[in-house]
Amino acid sequence: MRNSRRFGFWTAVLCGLAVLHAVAIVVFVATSTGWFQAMQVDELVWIRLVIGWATAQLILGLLSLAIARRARRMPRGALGRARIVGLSVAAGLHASITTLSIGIILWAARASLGHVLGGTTPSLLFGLTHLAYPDLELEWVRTLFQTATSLQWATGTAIVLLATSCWFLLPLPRRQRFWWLFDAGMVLAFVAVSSMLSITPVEGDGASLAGAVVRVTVTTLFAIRVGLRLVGPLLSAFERIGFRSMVAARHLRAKKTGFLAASGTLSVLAVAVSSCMLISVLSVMGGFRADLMKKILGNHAHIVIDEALKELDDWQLILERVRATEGVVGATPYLQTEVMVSSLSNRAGAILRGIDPGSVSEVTDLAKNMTHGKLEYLEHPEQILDASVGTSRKSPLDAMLEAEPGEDVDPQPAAEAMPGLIVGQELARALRLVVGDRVTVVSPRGELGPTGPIPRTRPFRIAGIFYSGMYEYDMKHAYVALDVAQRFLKAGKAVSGIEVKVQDVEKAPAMATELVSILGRDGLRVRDWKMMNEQLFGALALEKLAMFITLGIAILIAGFSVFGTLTLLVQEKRREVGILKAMGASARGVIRIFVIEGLLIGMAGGLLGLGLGFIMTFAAEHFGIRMNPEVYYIDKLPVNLDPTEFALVGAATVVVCLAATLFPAYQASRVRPVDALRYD
Amino acid sequence: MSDPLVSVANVTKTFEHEGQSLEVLKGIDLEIGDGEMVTIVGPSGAGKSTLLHLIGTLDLPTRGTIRYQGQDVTLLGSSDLAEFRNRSIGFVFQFHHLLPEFTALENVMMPGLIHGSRRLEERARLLLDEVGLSHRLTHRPGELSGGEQQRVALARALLMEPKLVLADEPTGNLDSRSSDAVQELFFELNRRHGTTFLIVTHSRDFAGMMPRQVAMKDGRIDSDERRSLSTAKPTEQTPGNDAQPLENQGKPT
Repeated sequence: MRNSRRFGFWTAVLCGLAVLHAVAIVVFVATSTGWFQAMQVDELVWIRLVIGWATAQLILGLLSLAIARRARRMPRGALGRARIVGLSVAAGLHASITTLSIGIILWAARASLGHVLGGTTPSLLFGLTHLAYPDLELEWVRTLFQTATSLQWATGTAIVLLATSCWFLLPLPRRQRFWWLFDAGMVLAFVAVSSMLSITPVEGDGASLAGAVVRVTVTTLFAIRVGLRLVGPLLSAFERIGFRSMVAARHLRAKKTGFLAASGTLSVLAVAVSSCMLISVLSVMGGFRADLMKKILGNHAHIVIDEALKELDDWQLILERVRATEGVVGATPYLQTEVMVSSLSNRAGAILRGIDPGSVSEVTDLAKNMTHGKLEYLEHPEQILDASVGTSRKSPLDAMLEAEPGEDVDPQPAAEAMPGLIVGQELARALRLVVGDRVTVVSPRGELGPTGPIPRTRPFRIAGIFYSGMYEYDMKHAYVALDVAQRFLKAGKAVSGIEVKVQDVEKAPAMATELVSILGRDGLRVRDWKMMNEQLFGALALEKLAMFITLGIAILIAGFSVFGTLTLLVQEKRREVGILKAMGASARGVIRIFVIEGLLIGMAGGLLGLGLGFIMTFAAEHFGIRMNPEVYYIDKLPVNLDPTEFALVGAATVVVCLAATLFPAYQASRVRPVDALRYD
Repeated sequence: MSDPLVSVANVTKTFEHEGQSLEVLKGIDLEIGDGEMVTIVGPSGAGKSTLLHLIGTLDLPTRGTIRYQGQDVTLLGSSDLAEFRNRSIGFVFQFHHLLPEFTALENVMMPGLIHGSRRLEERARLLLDEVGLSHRLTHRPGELSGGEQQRVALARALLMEPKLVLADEPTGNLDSRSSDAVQELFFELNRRHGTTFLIVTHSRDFAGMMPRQVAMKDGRIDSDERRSLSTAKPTEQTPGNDAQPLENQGKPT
């Protein structure tokens, strides 16, 4: 077929152009923030872009004309003629729509109608024009662009589909040659990116992020190509196992009728997509759980020892014993009560915790979470004012200190007398506090006055602000030094309890029971973090299970398509089943052949899906998908890769595919050789 | 003659079709001795193929018994039957019925693979050599001519050294040249290995060459003639021609 050969060339060129086009869009989207900034500075950038874009469309249009001319010379009814004509029409439409709409927009802009093109559409063109002429607002222009964009999408899809089908018009050796070249290029590219680009991007560096994205993309493509190249040898190895695997592998390999081939490919893809989806969702949910757990464990101890009804008096002894226990990393006492914190502008309820600044870092991440101020200020509140600079209220003091270094400076006694208080970021925001500010803490544990209970109040100075990442903590928690709290609450030497950190978080429940027996005192409550957050983690586990079941149904539906494919395959191979049975294959042997085929389809799909899922979650984990912290209180999509989940999803896929094979395989085993071998 | 290889006794076969029963075989009695070459002839619809299928255990008779060396195979379970077919019977069909995904060599090895034996390649090669296809080992059925396909099918039928080979119009689809070559091969193999052949054919020539001819009509055996082997047969040629009787026959180039 000489004609299709020639068209193959043009199709290839068109494919190449389409790939470039797609790459341009991807690059634009990936780097758009950078461009937006650049465009504000340099107006010429967008003009160049528009010109480049229009030129690309012009080339596309010319190509489509060339293809159309050739297609006209093809005889009517020749294989692939319709496809080629369709391709040429789609490409021509795409090019002319884009060029026309660019032209109209440029004209509208040149006409300087002085309006703003509001709103956003997923059109590169629209975005560009919007950037170029921010004061262009015309209803019809927007409508035009929405229409143009949808038409572009439609024609673009048509081009991709038609070009893919035209690709198969090329003679096989040519296609093979292309793939060899492609793979050679892939190997080179893989080696190049592996040696040149780092896989972990530097925070905030766009170029290194782009490099990492390129590396992961190239590695993925390389892995896919390697996988495809391995299919043949793997099936050959599989064939050597025995007669059943041999027949099964040959059936899958053999050139099938078009419908069965499409159905087979689709069922592999269905299994792949569903398992990929399931594993990605599970990873993200696991990520949320891990994130939450990290934050909870960072702010709370793994184990809390306290008494249900009263405070602990002899805590020193308990502390000693707990610290001496093996597996305990640290322990610290705390005193806790609910208070009201009021600033000049506002007031809010909070949980006041008296902590031992010396040992609290052994147990929680408070010291690490400090964004302003220092934990040490709790012990040395007099340093707060020295260190805090830049706020207007302290500048007179600083000025005074620096202006007269040699002289006797009058210290402010009020400032020194105030103990330090550390609050969370959200509480600080609500009360409009900065380090060094003065707040009043009101405790409900008041004294009885002549007119009834009088709440106890005391002034504190903000010694620091922390950010834990958990809104609950950032809004509700305030820390003071333990002795200050004891004095403030008139608790004497007692504490509320002891917080304990253990080596292995997962073994916390076991450690808790161990501590109970070590301490051996009645009335002591020893609770681990799982117990304390049972409801939260219970809800998360339930949610995850529900997700697994819901998305597992997607795998089930993929299983239906495996079922359909196998039923078709059994129909197509009826005669061969008859031959095999005539030669002495037993019904069980025939069942096994088709079960193996279904399993191979399922495993191929499952492996593909898990691989893609791995790459997706890996990329999300490494590159960080940004989220709005105002809404989610986290800035990146958390992802947690759990090998057990991968194994579980893989197992579920295989089980579903196995179940899907059973009935078609049974049907195959029921084929009677006499019927199958009938001559008609 | 001692115990016959196959003895068919009072076999009937009835098919149900749209509520009506159709008696295809109406009481067949037939005995085939070891090493015999038997042909079944008769008009279409006489029940030849059905009888062949029953003898080959591809189907079960409605009534009657089929014994192989005294053993009643109609009583065997399906997996025992499969095993029996695998070991004791070889089939050659009108349409070669080779597996299209496998090469000639693999097709010949297939009964052995089904049985689970491994070291069969040598024997399969020998057999293909014997039918004159040693140069076509790696070709798929689609790449072979009709005569070649039928010879591969014959080699396949012989792989497990069955006592009985059943052939249903083996030359029905071949041109006269290929057909002659295949026919000659049957006699050749019968002489060399002592294999029993039961061949259904429409070809007068072929039937005429066979030493025993069973004619069927309307589901009954019409006649059962044994002839002396002295009639002129192409196989009774000079030994020199015998050594490689099939070279350059039935295939292009």
